[in-house]
Amino acid sequence: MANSNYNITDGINTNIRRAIQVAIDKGNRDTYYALYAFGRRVIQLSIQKHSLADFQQYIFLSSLSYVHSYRLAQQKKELQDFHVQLAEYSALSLKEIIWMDLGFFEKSKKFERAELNAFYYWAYYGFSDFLVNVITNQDFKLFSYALDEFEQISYKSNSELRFQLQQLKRDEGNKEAIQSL
Amino acid sequence: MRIQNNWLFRHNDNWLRHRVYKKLIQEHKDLFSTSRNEYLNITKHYISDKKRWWLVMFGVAAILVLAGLLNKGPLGFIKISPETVKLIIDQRTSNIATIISITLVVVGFLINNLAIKEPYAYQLLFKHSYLYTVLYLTLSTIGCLMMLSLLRDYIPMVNLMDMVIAGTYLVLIILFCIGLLFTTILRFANTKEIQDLLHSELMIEAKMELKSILIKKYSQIEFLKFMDNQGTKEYNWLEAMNLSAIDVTTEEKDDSTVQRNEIVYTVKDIDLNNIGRVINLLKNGKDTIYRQQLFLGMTTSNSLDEYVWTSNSSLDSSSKRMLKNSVVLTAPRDKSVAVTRKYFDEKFEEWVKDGKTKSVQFVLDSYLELYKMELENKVKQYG
Repeated sequence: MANSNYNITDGINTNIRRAIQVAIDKGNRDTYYALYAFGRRVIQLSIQKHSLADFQQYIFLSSLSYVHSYRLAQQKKELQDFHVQLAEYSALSLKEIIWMDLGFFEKSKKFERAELNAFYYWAYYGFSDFLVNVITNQDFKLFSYALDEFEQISYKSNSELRFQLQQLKRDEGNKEAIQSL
Repeated sequence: MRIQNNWLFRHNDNWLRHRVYKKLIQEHKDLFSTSRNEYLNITKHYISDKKRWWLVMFGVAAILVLAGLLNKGPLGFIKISPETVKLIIDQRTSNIATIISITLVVVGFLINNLAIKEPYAYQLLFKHSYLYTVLYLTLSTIGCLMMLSLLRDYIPMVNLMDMVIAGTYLVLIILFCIGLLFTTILRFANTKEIQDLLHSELMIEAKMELKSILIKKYSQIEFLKFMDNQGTKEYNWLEAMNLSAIDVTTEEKDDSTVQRNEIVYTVKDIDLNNIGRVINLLKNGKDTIYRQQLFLGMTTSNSLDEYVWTSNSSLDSSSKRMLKNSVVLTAPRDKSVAVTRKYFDEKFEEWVKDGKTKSVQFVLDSYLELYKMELENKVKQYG
């Protein structure tokens, strides 16, 4: 069954990855952000249309950008500023994908739980891959920033509980309810 | 092996392509424009091709001859004297020669001032402005009018009169076409216009590609469903070898006896009804019937006469022939269809290197449209 799995978008992902590397090499911020925004839009589209394969292809763009720009920033001092900006933006985007893009669809209840979990799994995989690369490079400042973003996701997931706790504490009393929470 | 059978005979549910097309139209309406538009587009595409000079030439000659033969046709209401006819015929030829020389100069000037000067952009411009068609029309009309001028003493005056009037109308049509040509080419001095055209060309190409991908996928599903209903099984080595049987007989084929068919074909259509008949003939209650997966658009160099077989007995020649006749094969498409996509990929790489963010954004928007089209047209489950 030769060629039966061919799709009209085949090759675009490779083009984007290559283009991102070229844009970083040249220190061209506008082109880089345009390319990265494209990746984000494809991720959003893949969530809307339930296409895990496309999601998997683009979730590692942050890691790829970071690894490439880190290596270059070590060689060229003038790219260091761009590298920091890019890395922080990558961490922020990964948080947004999990928090907003996936979170929004979780709320809309358009997903089966198992399917949603698969998306979450790959999104967290993307984020942890990014964190692993950051810590491998001993980039502690960025790691602290990225970890902070990462923690915000978990903060979001139990924010309702925290809010209820605060509410109960303010109201004083009802210790049983506080305990149960 | 029936090569390129007439599709008219395959326009029923016995044939796989017909079934798949029905499913495709039902599930993916947006991939199909209305049938009227589709025929119009096919006609436009056919006429605008630079290889269709003969069509335009014969068209013009036929119009003039028919006008002359009809005599009292729709053009009969204009009456002119024989002297005027002879005068007009000579004048029209020189008129049109002047028009074409001016046209060529202006077209050349405009093409020089195109916003994007690349071979592919030129190709698109020529196609969309019908430059070839207009040129062929003008040249054919000049040629025919010259012939008329030469043969004016041999053609009866009654016929010549109508031919001259028809020729004049053709000249007027040419004037109108040249006007359209100018406006189209002028539009292409603007980069945005060319980009819009490139984008729409990419979408048309992707739509065609997507259709053929979906045909492949749906035909796989449909063929499998049909074969399952017929009680055939997927071929399995272990089961087929039947290792528990003691007397396993094997047949060894010499290399020289195996026919080597180097010509590659594409499966165009499959007659399911005929295959069903063969399977019914093979059914005897004991033997398992195995199948090989086939689908539309599959390329093969095999003669495709044993894609259904039984575990114990070999197929007789009539069954083989029936199986062979159930598959319509065609020569594979030799030229690559993804020309526009290739152009986009090349330009994208170039623009990224040059740091032209605005142009890169244009390609990215088109790429995103491709993703949208693909994700909105995923294979739907069969009910």
